[in-house]
Amino acid sequence: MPRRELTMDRLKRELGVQPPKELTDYVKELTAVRNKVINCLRGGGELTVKEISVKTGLPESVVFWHLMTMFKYGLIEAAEKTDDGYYRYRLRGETHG
Amino acid sequence: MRSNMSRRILEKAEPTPGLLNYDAVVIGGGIAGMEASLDLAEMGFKVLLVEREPTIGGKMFLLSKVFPTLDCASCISTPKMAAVAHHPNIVLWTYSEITRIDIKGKGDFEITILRKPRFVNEELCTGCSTCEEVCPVVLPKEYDYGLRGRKAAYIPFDTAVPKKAVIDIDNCIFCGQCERACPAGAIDFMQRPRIYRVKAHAIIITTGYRLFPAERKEQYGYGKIPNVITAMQMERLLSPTRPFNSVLRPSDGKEPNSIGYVLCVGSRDRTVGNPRCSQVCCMYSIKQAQLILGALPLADVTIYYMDIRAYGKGFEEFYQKAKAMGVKFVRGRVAKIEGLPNGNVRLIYEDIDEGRVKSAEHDLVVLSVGLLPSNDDIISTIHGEKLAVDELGFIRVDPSTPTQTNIEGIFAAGCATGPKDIPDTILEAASAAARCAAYLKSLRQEKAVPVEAVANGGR
Repeated sequence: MPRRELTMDRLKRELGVQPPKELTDYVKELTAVRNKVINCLRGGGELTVKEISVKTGLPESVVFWHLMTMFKYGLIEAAEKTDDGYYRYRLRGETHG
Repeated sequence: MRSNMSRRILEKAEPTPGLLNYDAVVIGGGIAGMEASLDLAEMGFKVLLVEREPTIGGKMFLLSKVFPTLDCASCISTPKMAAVAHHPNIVLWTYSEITRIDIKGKGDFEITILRKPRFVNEELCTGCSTCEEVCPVVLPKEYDYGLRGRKAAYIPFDTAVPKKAVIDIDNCIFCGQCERACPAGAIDFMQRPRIYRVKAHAIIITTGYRLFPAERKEQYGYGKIPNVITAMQMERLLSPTRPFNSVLRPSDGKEPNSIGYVLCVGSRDRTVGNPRCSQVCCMYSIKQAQLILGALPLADVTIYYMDIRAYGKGFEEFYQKAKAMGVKFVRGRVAKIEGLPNGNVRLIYEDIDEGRVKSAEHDLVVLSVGLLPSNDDIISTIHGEKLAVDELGFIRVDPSTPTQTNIEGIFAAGCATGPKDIPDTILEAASAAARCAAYLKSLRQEKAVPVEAVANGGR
């Protein structure tokens, strides 16, 4: 079956545009950061922001921002809270392994 | 990083032939615009409500609760949003901007409106969020004031009206995933902006306010110290549609044990050109302090203030209740805020009661920012007469005929005329609608203008 032409392809052709390299680079970088966080939690891990930061080398604020975004999209969920006020997070649907 | 795609596409805006007719055009779809539109529509007038964002609701929609009653803000605003969308006498244009208003004569306005493309067919979109799920681009979510991300293809809110997706074309990488995944076939990158000409007999301006940009007070470190946030960000952390089910500080996700509020940030402050009191900052801070004590019962909340202006009905009792709940009030202007290596924040302040400079450490600091006018875009579009504004830029209204601007047939309400709280905003919007209705009726008598003129488009 022939592939349906997307309106997105028509727009690109008509305007002769490509997304700016900075934007695609940003998306690549962002995806890499998110994957680092996800990989850290794979296998049923339940970690705090600080623990993910130590494992990935990412700043805590960056880890937290990505966790909150993934929380919105249902990719992660909160586990229990530590005594010093930090939540642990885990990938949704993964059990402790 | 954003591309200038939207500008290139807006250059291709196509004029739509003909002239649409409405009794009144309401500019701004916040609580004031919705109230004014509904009141006029209930009186039988045909109303076009124009909102520049992809959803109506304004800022009230983003709040947690309202003071001093602690009623749920979205429980008040969402029924109005739905009522606006379904009222037979209201045509709602979101993601649309007024580009020109020509005053042709008494009760005769010709308004040019740009309808921006969502790149989503509103008739087909079911608001299922599939496009959002597959989109790979994550950006700071404006509606959460950057506390978390949104996609380049997104629905502004779960309860947005209309609940339709929109594609942020300036941040789209044209991967086509949204278009391939949309089960309704609603994604349409061939949509173009359209320009409409509208004839109306009256205009109500309800463009609301913008928040003081906290980064302008450099000594408070907003944007540089992660655990210094604005009160609007705290509102988001406390609201039913919040990013997470608890109040967490942005630097590391810790539940804060100690929270400090700095009042009058960018208001009552000549150094930033805004000497006016924003009317609501004391009370929204006291409200948030009470809500924090509900969400985090063990937390300490301290409010640093110049003086508390609890001037409205039930406000003083609300203030006293906060004190009784354990909120600490310190009379003193904060001079400087510093970030500490452990993420905590140190405040240097003058304790006026003790007459000396002190410092205090908190897990999180909230800046209670003031309100600024948000009328510039509209004022510059008006041709034929100049709309009068006060020294700060709020629309000037005659105190003896509130909501009436200096231009006959143009009314204004809500924070467009000056900072005010939600009850006063709603009251003023209702007043504007009543005055507008009286004006439209007087026009009909004078000029036999058919007030029941039927809108010939949009619905």
